[in-house]
Amino acid sequence: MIYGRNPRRTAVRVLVLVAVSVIIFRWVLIPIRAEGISMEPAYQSGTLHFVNRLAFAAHGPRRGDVIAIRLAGPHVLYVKRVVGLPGERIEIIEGQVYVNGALLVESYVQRRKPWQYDEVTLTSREYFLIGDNRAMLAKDHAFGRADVSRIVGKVVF
Amino acid sequence: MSRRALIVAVAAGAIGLAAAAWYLLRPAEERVIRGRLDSLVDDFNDPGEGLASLAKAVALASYFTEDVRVDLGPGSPPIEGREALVGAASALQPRTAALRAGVDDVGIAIDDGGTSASVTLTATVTRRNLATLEETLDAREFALTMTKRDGTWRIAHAKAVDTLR
Repeated sequence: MIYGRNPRRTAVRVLVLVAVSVIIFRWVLIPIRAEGISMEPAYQSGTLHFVNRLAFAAHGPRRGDVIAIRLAGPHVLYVKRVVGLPGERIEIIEGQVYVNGALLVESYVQRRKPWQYDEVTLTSREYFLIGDNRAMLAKDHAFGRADVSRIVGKVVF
Repeated sequence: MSRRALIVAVAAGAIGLAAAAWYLLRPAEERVIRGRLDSLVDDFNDPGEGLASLAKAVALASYFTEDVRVDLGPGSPPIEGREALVGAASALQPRTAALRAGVDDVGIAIDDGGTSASVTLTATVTRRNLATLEETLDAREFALTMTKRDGTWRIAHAKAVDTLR
């Protein structure tokens, strides 16, 4: 086996590499595997992505960001798109999202079913999240208001 | 072995021992509850056939109190009582060959008296389309109340938590 000219230095390099990888992929850039069709076509079921946990350190999520939110813990996450920001009024009429009464243009949505969702005003700690696949039946699609404390990070790629 | 290598080895050993001690010395009741939940999932995933399925149904019932209540959220009436719950589970039987349940992120807080526990978890159900072999995953967060009666932990109340409201 080849350890390099200085095996001790090689060992230290390997240890540092392992430590840095563990830190990055456990606490900063979390790998996730998409399951389900609610974020199609942007995110296909079975594909691998990463969640940047530091993305919102300086500012909160912005409209259009795809974010991960936790359920009971960090191992199973929902991945959804932000359509409503804290304090805004959100309503869905015939599958079209209205923010403060104005139609939201969503280029990432390809087909829509005529979902209905009564107007709701988000609190200062809430975001409104929906998946991109609006061709699903609304009852089969998890969407709605999420508390800021549930946000894990931004799905970056 | 150099002095530095020795220090690293001792530190690694100490960390390993600490991890093992933490695992072994966790509150015993917490381990018991986790074991109960794991067994429940195993029994659900292996419903058996014929007489075995009856035995499994009895086994499934044993994880719940007689007056268990399951709240699945708006739009679904609550399931009240162990018999009703087992009946609802039985209704799933023809499909269970394509269903696989799991629990993740289990959090347990045992009350002071040691006879009641609040449990949070994420329940997952993987459905496999037998024709295409395609799998889809559904996940739902639950808050459970478990009680210890006759030395056995049972689920007394299960409430679906709306992650998105």
